[in-house]
Amino acid sequence: MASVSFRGVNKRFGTVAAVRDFSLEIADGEFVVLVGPSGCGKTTSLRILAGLEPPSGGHILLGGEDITGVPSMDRNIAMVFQNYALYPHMTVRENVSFALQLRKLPKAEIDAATARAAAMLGLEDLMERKPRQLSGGQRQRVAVCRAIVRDPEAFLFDEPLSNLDAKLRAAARTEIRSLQQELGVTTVYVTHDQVEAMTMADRIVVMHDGEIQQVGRPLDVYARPANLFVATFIGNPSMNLVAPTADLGNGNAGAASAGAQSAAMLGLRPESLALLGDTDAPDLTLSGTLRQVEALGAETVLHVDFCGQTILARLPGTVTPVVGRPVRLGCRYEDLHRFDDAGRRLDG
Amino acid sequence: MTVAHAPGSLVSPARRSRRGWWARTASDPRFAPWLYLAPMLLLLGVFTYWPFVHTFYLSLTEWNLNPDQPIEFAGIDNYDRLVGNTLFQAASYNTAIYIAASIPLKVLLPIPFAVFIWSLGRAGNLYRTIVFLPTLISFVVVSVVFLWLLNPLGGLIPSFFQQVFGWRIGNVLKDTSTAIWVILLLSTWKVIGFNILIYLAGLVSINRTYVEAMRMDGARDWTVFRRLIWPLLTPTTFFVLIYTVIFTIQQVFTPIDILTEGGPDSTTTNLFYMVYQYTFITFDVGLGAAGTVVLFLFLLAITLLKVRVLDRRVNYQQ
Repeated sequence: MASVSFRGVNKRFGTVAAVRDFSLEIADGEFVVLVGPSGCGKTTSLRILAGLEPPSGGHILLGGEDITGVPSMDRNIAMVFQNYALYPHMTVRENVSFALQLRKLPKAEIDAATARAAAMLGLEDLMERKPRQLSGGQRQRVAVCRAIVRDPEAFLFDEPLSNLDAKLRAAARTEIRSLQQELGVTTVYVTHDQVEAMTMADRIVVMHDGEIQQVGRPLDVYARPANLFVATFIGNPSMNLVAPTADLGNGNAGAASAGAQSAAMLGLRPESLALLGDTDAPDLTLSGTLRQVEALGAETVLHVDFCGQTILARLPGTVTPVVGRPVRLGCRYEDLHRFDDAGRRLDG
Repeated sequence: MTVAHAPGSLVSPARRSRRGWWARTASDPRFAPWLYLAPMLLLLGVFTYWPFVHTFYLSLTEWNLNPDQPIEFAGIDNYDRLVGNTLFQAASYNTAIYIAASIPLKVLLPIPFAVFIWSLGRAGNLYRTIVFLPTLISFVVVSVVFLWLLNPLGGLIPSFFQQVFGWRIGNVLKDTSTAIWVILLLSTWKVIGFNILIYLAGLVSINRTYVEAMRMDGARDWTVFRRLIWPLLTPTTFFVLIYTVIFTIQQVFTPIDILTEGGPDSTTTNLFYMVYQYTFITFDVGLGAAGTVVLFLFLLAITLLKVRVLDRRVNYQQ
């Protein structure tokens, strides 16, 4: 187990900058998730840490030791690949024990470590099968098993759940998180799925265009997005953005206007909005026409046409208004997110 | 007006009556498959199966290719004569050498070249072109060029060794101990680029994340090759092995004919060239046909042996 440090890491592919000035301190035993859209540089950063891509600049430290020039085979870092990369000609047992064989450990020790890791992942009955004889979920577990058997200083996960169906993905999220907490190994996990990021991470790192946008605990990032990109990327449905010039109703107009006028853009989480009755008088009011209702059971998402744009509101599943009718949505002033001209968050 | 259709028929009687014999036969499920297969069956019959049957017939006869000479039935005499013939014995021995030497030279040697070019990624395209060039040159041209290059009187290769190392190289094509190796090296040079390309196609099908995963597991280059690339390349190696062994016998016909004509002292002839020698040099058609049948059985045996023995050890990716 060891801490991981990225110090001013850059990576260029020809003229394209894939990662720019990436600096991050990951504590020993911490679970950090790099999250962002495709092409944001998260996988490249992970591969640089793995030693599979040389950085164009900067340094990588593992346990305080500079490993920038150390080849991947000498880093003692285990990685679970997106396609699992299980050796197709080897059985599960051979896949799992391969790294230990390379270390020339005694056979009894290899067998014991393999059996222990297999038991943790519930793979005892699959040990003599080839990868092609396994389901997607089983392959994913074998890949994790292959990573933990080595007792590495850090785990790297490159979108390991993207090939699983939704139900299996939810189960695997919990399994990986529990395993990491049990083993206490420093983990860097890459995903574009914000649900994975929010539910698994101690801290999330939101990336965009090769740069870190925000680092923080999941709920902090959600509650106080540093900029417009983070505000719209984290949260599902994503945050509504409204120009401060829009008609924000006749509720507590003075306070709302005072806050709104200093901002270039206002953000409202869909769950901050409530459907108003005729007599309700919230801080802010958005009046519009209901265009669509997504009844998801536990919740209902309303699509409201407001000043020529669509505003989403997430309400309890019991609410089922009629499409085409005028509706009033309201929210509290403290739920308003304000951003400046450059898209940066305005506090206060 | 409505037209009554027969039950189960998709075509009206009026329309069916207008259709000719050809259309009816082509749509009849009993004949249609044979009709579609007919062109290929005709070609195979005329150019493969009939010549094979006729060759077997000729192997039981005595004839000298003279149309005025009657073909006389000789039973298995030709096979008897063949087994006792020194040319057949020399050709069999040489064929074994050609095959045995082809495995390291043409099957195994291209692998490191292919892995090297593969590891270069896009930068390997230039090397790919360079190694493939000899394959594009006619073997007749290659043989004639090497005849000049190896000429003991002023040929480039003997002159080079004479001037650089001070070694006197005689006529390697007339030397019984070197002639077969010259032909082997020449044919290796000719096909190695093609085999490298086939191996490259096999390597491209190996997912590079396997290599990365193995590196993360702590494997170095040799281990990656031995434990990953070699096992996953076995289908390709198996294919190259089969066709190299089969075609190496035919492929060396041209250099044998141009460079040595089977000599010196029958040290470069093989079963394939021997058939030509019997049939078109000594005009002993029966013996040539018997040699062809033996060659066929030999290749059939090798193919079956390889399929039975080696196919079990091949690792195929999912």
